[in-house]
Amino acid sequence: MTALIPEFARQAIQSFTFDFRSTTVGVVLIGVLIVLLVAREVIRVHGGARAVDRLEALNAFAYPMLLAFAAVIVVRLVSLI
Amino acid sequence: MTQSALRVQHTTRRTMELVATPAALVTGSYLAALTIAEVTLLTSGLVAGALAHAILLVALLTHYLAAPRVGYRRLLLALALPSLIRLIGLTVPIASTSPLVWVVAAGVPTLLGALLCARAIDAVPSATLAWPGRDIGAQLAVAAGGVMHGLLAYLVLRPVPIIGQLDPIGVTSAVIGLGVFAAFTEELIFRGIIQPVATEAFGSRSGGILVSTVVFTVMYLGSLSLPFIVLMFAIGLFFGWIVQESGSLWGVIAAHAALSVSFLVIWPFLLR
Repeated sequence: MTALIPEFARQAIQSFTFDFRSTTVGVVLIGVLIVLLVAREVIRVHGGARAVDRLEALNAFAYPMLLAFAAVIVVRLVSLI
Repeated sequence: MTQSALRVQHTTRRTMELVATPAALVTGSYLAALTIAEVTLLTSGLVAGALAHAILLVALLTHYLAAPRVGYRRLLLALALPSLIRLIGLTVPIASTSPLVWVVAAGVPTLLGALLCARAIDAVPSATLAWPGRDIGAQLAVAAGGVMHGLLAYLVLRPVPIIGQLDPIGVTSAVIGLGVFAAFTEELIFRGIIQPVATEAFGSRSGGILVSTVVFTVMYLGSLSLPFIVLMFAIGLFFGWIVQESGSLWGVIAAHAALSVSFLVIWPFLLR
């Protein structure tokens, strides 16, 4: 029971298969990640003088999600092999 | 008018001035949205909860990017961190393994996000992460108090232990895993990033403590235990006050680690 994984979420997650989670909650994460990456590219091209600050802010959320996404892909590949 | 009536009138006027500021209204709205997202997760399931957190995160980032001049701007980015915590916690793909491995797997990207966010908004005063020096005695006393907080939390919630056996390897891995990813990461986010940024946004130390404590408490709504939630609120206030008074995060990081390890490892084995 930590703020990272509350007990309710732990029990709820364990009641679903990984396949179910990766095609539902995982899709939500990927959707947010795509929004952030698109916003990142738009700011890089049209961001003006404050582009560096804004990119840094978006990176703070995009990079952890990319890491979680990579973990999902690795587990999926391992389960296929 | 008596002295106490004048004091009450002054306090009421000061509170109304604080509550009526744009920073307070915007922060209050986002805190309400964070609470709704957590309640949605509890009542409507994983997908609805994840969607609610995703919408909140995108809204906060959009507000941050679109409002370059408002005084509470840095707080917007800091308040997006709880939704990041929840989205990552729900998607890390190792539900079948030990809860400790799960905490570590969710903690690595969360810690990365916290460090990058702190750098992006220059949020954590370097003094708060400096070695406490001559205050080390007071910080150790705060840390030792974490064991008692853990006992109280255990008596309220009685969780199952996070490791299979009470052996040196299990305890060491729990101390490292919970110490870094539950204690350090959470304290960095709540007391290290959100609290100073909220203090600056409100121009009030108590405002900063209150915001960080409310966010900290909302993240524990998933315990589904009112006494535990009240206890977390009290601990959040205490930790916030300690950081405010001492200027150092290390005491509360150690206290949080002691709380987590005793709550999830020691007391479940000793008192079951």
